[in-house]
Amino acid sequence: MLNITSSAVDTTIFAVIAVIVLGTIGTLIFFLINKIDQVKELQDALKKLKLSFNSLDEQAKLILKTDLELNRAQEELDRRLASLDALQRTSRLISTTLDEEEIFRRLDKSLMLQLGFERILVLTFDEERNLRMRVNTGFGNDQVSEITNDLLKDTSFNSVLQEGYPFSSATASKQKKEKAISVFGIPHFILAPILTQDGTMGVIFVGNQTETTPISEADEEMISILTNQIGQSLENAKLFEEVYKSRQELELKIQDRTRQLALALEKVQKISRTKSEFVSAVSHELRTPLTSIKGYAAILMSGKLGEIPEKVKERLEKINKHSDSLVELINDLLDIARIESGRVEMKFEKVNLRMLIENMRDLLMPQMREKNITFITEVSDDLPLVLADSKQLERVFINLLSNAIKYTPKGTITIRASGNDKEVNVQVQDTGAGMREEDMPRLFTEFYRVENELNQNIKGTGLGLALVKNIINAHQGTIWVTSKIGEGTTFHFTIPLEPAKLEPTNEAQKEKTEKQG
Amino acid sequence: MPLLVGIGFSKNENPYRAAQDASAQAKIQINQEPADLVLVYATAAYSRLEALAVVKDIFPDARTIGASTSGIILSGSIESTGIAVMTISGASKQIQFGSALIKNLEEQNPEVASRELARKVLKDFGMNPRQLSLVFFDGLSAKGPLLLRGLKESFGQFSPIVGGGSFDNFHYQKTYQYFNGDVTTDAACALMIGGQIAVGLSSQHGWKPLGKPRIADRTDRNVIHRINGKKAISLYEEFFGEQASLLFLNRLNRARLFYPLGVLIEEQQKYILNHIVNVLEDGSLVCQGEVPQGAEVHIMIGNKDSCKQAAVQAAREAKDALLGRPAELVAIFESVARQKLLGRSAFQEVQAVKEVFGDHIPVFGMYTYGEFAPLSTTERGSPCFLQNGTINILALAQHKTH
Repeated sequence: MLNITSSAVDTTIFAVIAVIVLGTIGTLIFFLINKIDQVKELQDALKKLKLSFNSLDEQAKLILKTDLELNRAQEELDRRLASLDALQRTSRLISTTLDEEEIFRRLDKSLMLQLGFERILVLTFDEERNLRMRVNTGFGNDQVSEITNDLLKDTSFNSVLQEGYPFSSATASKQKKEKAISVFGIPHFILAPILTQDGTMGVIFVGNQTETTPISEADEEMISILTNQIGQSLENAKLFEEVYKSRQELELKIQDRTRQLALALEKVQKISRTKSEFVSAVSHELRTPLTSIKGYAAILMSGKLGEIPEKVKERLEKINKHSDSLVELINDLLDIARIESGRVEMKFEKVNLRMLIENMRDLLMPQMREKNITFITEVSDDLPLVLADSKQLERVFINLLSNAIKYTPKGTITIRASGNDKEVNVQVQDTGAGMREEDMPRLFTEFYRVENELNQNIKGTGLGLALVKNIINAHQGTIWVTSKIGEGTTFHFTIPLEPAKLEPTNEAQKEKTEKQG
Repeated sequence: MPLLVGIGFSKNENPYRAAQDASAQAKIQINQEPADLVLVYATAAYSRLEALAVVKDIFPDARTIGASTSGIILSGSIESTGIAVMTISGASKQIQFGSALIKNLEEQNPEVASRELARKVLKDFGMNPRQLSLVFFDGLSAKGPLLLRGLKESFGQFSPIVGGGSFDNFHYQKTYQYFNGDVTTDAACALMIGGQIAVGLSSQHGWKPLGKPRIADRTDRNVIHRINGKKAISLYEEFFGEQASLLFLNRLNRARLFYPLGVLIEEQQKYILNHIVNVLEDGSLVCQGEVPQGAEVHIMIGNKDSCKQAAVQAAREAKDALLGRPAELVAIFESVARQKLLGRSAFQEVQAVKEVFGDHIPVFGMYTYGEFAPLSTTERGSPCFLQNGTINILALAQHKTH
């Protein structure tokens, strides 16, 4: 029993242990399976993480490439903007001068400071098509003469010098680039022609020894724009120079001609003075014997020397009358000579023209009546007083009215006078024969008489109007005439209310001093 | 006496006349008072002895320090040619300066030379409280990182170092350092600033990492031999193609400046930028700054907008560091990479900085080829690195307003 019991207990224990072991194993297996799943999950997660990291890297590469491109674009844009800015400044600098030398001076500075080139060479063609150095920075003189020789001789540079196309280290073919480097000794460069309407007038070389600022196609374009601007500025300077030269020549011509005219005027004035003096002297000399002639004629006519026959008396009267005419002529001549030479001293006083004109009516009415002429005066009520020599003005009116009476067989003579705060205007109008237009300009010349049938029958010296003109001029006024054949003539004159003070001429002064002495 | 700041600039074609004009303008702005400090920046063509001598003649008693650059940042413009002079007057009682120069970097052990430079500066500066030091070094010299290492050790970690590599308008030929009328190349000069002056400094770049992280698993200071078990250049080859090395060997290629290598600094979780300055025959990359072995690296990418945002952030941090004191001057040391990337819109960045400080703030800055700057300017004692692509804004304010 005990054995059975012990065996049963053993079995039970074994069974329990077995269950426990199996259970533990099962649990362990369960946990193991579970762990394996977790590890798998973790491995998956790690895999995913790795993938994400790798994907992050790929994205980063993409971002960097895009950023690199953006930066490149930005760099190019910045460079272009900076170049445009520099170009604009340089263009403004060189276009604000018209001096060729100054253009090159400013260009030199600007190319270095604004555009940052270390080496600059500007060459222009002279009249013999040799290249002449205008700007040089960084090249020795010997080197420049070698460069100019090479440029002219080597056909590699024909495209620039002959055809006007630029090239640079960025765009030139390998062969061309190597040639340029061997000539200039500079690896980064632009060579551009200076173009004008007449073709290539020179060439600009700019360059850098180091690649601090790499030269691009955009730089080449920019320098080309600049060289065009230089060409234009040089053309403007040339045009200005030409205009300036021709203006100077013109000015010299004008000065020369003015000098000639001044000399001629001096001669004319001298002649005129001599003439006046001659006329004055002759007139004086004539007046003395004439006075004697008149005196003797008067004595003879008076009968104091015995009765004279009627026929002789008639002749003596004619002598007397002609002598009077001659005296009048001589007096007119003397007056003209005096006024012209300034030897007549005007006695300026306030003159009432209205009264002066009315006096004329009294003076000349008998002659007008004789010819059946109506005399009209139209004097405005507010006619101001004028500062003038009344005696001389009387002579003006007498001369003009006498002329009008002479040339108006019958009709009307009108005097109009009006004024403003500066001057008075007077018209003496007749309804006489009138005159041709071509006669008018010379009307006021001494001894000029209009040639027509009427004039042949009318006596006159041709001095009256010349005297009138001289008097009006002495009053600083102007006189002119309008006329129409068959309708009549009008003389117009103006005189200022107060003539501006004039320095007396030397001769007048001299005469005055002599008189005072 | 209040602190007076004068800034003059000229691009007269004659460097001598330009220096004279710029100095005269600066002198007028400090009411003809004697200057305590003169800072000079000039582009390559103006880096002439006669130009710097004239500056020294006009300010004979002032410390003069400066460097050649590819661009001068001013309140109203950015100039790519010319000479600029900044003067500080009335500072003698409030601010202490110490300055020195060491020449012939290439012939010396740079760490020894830089310790010597630091020693001279500190001797000149005396036992005054230090604020920060301004350093200019030859940007084309490969010894920048070692120079910085020596200076850091000598000046201590609580005195940040700012400044940068002098440059030459992208000619990559010769850069100049100016010190008291002397014009040298292959040299470094430093100015320690301290005393009763509040300093706000911030450095930012705005570049972001591209692609999956990779590990620089074998480096030697500024040379990265292998990245992710492959030759280092393969990282760039994956992105730029097989011509990548040619791309980076051409110094004029903008890709070198636009896609620097970002190195993650674990502690601050910040990336510093490193320009690749050379590719060795075995495909190793030579960076301007040092790369710690095992660092996570990325190709970095930035754009105009991210640059401007970084500039605004730097300006705000620098302003905040002044604790409400009004800034008297903003000095900018900015990477040439940003000058190129921003291009014609570079001045917009300056305007954004001015908006933070107020439109009338005098701005005086230069473009540098490599910048010294602390990684974090909000944490005191943050380590300084030789970085690239950064904008470093240094704002100065008086402790007491007059």
